[in-house]
Amino acid sequence: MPRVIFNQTFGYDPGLPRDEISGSIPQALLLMNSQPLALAMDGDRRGTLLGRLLVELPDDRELADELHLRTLARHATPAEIAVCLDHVRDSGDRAAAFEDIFWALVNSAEFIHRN
Amino acid sequence: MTSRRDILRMLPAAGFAAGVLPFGDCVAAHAADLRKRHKACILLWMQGGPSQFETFSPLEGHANGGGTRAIPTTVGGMRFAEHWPAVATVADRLAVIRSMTSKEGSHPRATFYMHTGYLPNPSARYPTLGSIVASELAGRRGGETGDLPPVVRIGGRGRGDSGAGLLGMQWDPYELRDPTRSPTNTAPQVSPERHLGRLDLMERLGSGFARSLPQEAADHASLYRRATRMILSDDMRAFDISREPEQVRDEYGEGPFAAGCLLARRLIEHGVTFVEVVSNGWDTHQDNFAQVADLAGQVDRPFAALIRDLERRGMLDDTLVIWMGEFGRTPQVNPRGGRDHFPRSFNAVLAGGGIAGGAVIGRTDQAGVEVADRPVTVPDLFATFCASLGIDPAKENMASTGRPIKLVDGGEPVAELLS
Repeated sequence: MPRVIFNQTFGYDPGLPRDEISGSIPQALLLMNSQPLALAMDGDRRGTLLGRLLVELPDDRELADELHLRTLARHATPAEIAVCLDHVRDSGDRAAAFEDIFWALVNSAEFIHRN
Repeated sequence: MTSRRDILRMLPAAGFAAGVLPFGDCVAAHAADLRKRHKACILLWMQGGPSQFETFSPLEGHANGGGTRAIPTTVGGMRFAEHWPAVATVADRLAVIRSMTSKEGSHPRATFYMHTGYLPNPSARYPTLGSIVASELAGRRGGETGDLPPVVRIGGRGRGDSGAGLLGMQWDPYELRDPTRSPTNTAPQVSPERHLGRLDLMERLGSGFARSLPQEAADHASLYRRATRMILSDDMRAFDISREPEQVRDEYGEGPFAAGCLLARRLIEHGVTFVEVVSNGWDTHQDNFAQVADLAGQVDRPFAALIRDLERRGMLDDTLVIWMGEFGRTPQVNPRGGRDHFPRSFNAVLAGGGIAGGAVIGRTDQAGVEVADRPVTVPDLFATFCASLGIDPAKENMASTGRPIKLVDGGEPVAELLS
């Protein structure tokens, strides 16, 4: 599901050389600031992946790890889990905090590099 | 709540703080000063190869002229094709080069040549003119650029176009297809505070990746910084041409090219260094005369309005305006009423940026075939751009292969045009 969204939203063939896809501001804006992606990452909507996961995984640690798996296809490191838990605590709004985390992962250099 | 200005201060451009300036007498300008007065360049690009005979080199009294009438301009002896009545009224600001000459007659190669000054070469990533100009002029300000991308290309279709190449992605043209619509994905989806918080979170979560691939991580961070600076900037309103008074919009006229020219002026005012505005469809192999009349109808009025508008605002002396395409068209009209590719002799027009107005450089023979006087090559033309903008054409950049590449490969500026 997320892969479908992202491939669709990326709008490019992931087989392109890195040179062709990085470095462009429109490419970055698509990921960081497009309305379809913002909606897809909305935690307050039941139909979204994040909306579902927020209900299915009440444990913050598990949810942080799940988002890493979904975006980066690997588990979160203990340090990354700690960053996420800090953010959730500071935010005071669980759904909003995980929207931020999801956003940060989808926009990360690692996610883009993997694609 | 933190103001938008304060937030933007937290996002310095790369090189903002660099202390060493290439010229001793050059003080790093603050963004506000940068906006007020800075050297800039606007390229009006006629994609397809505009006919010299139906533009600014009419051929009177010869069959090759194809019956196109010539009209007088504000400069005695300088006549334009009949399709350019508005540009004719600003002829005293223009320099027309009627002796451009090249050997490159294929669209992609010639488009690349006229954008970079170099023929394409798979082993060298030659930068496009806009990227050269933007990086060189920013270099004089300690690397500082405005909040908006320093190079913007409006209305292009990406065929054979060139990018920043070896200069690096930060100088790549920002492509805007439609000047009447706000740029895609620039309306902030969350508050500036939250956006910056997310960037901070992204950086903290990315520290492991940054240790394994530091260059990729640095490029990524730089890109996100620039994109963020752009969308949170007050300068984004430059993209909204509906903010212009109706009188000004009327002066530029209608259509995408007119909108692009007006937007170009707004962008330059807001700190952009180089704007290319593309007019498509000049490849008139068939029905050349009706097609060019139509195309000129889209370009004539905005071209003239741009010159006047820049002058009125005191920007013309600092803004070089270039009108050109990739080559000219055959003197002989083909059986389909068209003209085919002809790089051997063609034309280009320059204005502003200290270029002497009312000047005609060079001429062809009476049949419009061979350059008969004062040939100007593509490197000569690029050297002239550099001279107008105060850029050293002999400066070398290092290709990834370790080979030095000059900004311009030889050539002599057209000295008669430089005051």
